[in-house]
Amino acid sequence: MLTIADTHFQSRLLTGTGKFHHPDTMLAALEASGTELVTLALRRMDRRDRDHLFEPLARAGYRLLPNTSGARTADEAVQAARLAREAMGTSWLKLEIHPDPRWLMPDPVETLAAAERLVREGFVVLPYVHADPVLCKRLEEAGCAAVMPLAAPIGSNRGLESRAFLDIIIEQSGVPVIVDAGLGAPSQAAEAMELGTDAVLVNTAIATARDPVAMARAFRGAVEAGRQARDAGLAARQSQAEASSPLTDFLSEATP
Amino acid sequence: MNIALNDQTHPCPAQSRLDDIIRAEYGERAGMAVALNGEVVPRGQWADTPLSEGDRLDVFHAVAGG
Repeated sequence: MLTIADTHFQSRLLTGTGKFHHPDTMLAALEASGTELVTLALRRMDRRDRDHLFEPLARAGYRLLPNTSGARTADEAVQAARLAREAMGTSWLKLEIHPDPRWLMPDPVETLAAAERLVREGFVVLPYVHADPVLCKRLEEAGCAAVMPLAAPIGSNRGLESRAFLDIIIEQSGVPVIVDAGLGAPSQAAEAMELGTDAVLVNTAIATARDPVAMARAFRGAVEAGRQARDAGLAARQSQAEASSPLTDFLSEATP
Repeated sequence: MNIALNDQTHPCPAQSRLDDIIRAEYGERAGMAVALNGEVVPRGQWADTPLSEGDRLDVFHAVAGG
C-alpha cells in the first residue's frame, strides 16, 4: 500500500486533470484509472469562466493535489500554495517551479527554498524536481512528504530518460518516490514501477489518447503489473544465454 | 471608488465589502481563493472585510492541471 504523510492509498497511479477535451471524459478516465489522488491547478478567475471542475472532483471523493504551476520563484510558489490551500481546502501541494516554458525544467534552487518555507507553514509538500539524487535527499531532509522526479520533460511522452538517476533516488529515498512527467505509454509506467518507484503521475498520455478512458484503464493495469513484478523479484539480467531447458545431446546419443 | 480586480480597474460603491464584489462578479462558488493586497483572506472573513480605494483584489479558482 502506498503511504504518503500517514495517508494510505490503494492505487499507485496519480493522475492529472489537464488537457482533456471534455470534463465528462476526464471524470470517466479518472474513474477507469482507479486513481485516488488527482492534481489541479490554480488560475486567475475570469467571470466568463465555466470550468467547474472542483465540485465534481471533490464530490467523487478524490483527494486533491493542487499544483503551483505558473510560479517562477519561491515567493510566487508560496503565495500560490496559500491560495490553493484556501481554494481547495487541503494543505497537500505539488510544488512545481519551472520558469522556462520551453522545457518546463524545475528550478532546483527555488524549489528547495520554497519547500523549506512551506513545510514550516504546515503544508504536505510533494516537489516536482529533476531526477537529481542529491536534491531529492535535501528535499526529504527539509521535510517533504514525497519526491516527484521527472522521467522526461512534461508532456513529452518519452519515457524513463532519467532511469539511471531514478535508480539512485529510489535506492536512497526515505520518502515515497513518485515518477512524474514524461511517461507516455503504459509500458513506461510499468517499467518505472519495476524499478521500485512507489507511484507514478500520468496526465498527458491519458488525456490526449484517442480513447482516454481505455488508456486510463491500460495505465492502471500497467502500474499494477509493474508493482507486482517488483514485489515478485525480477530475475537477474545475464550477458549470455542461460538455457531454460536441459540441453540433451539427442543426435550424438542416437548415432554412435 | 476604484479597486484593482485581477489587475483591471474596477469601480464599486464606497463601503463595499469583499463578499459584495465576489458575489456580483463571480457568484458563490466552491474552489475559489481571494487575496487582498497580497494577503489571502479566508472565505469566512469575506463578509467582514471592507474595501478601500486603491485596494488590489486577486481572485483565483481551481482549474484543470497536471
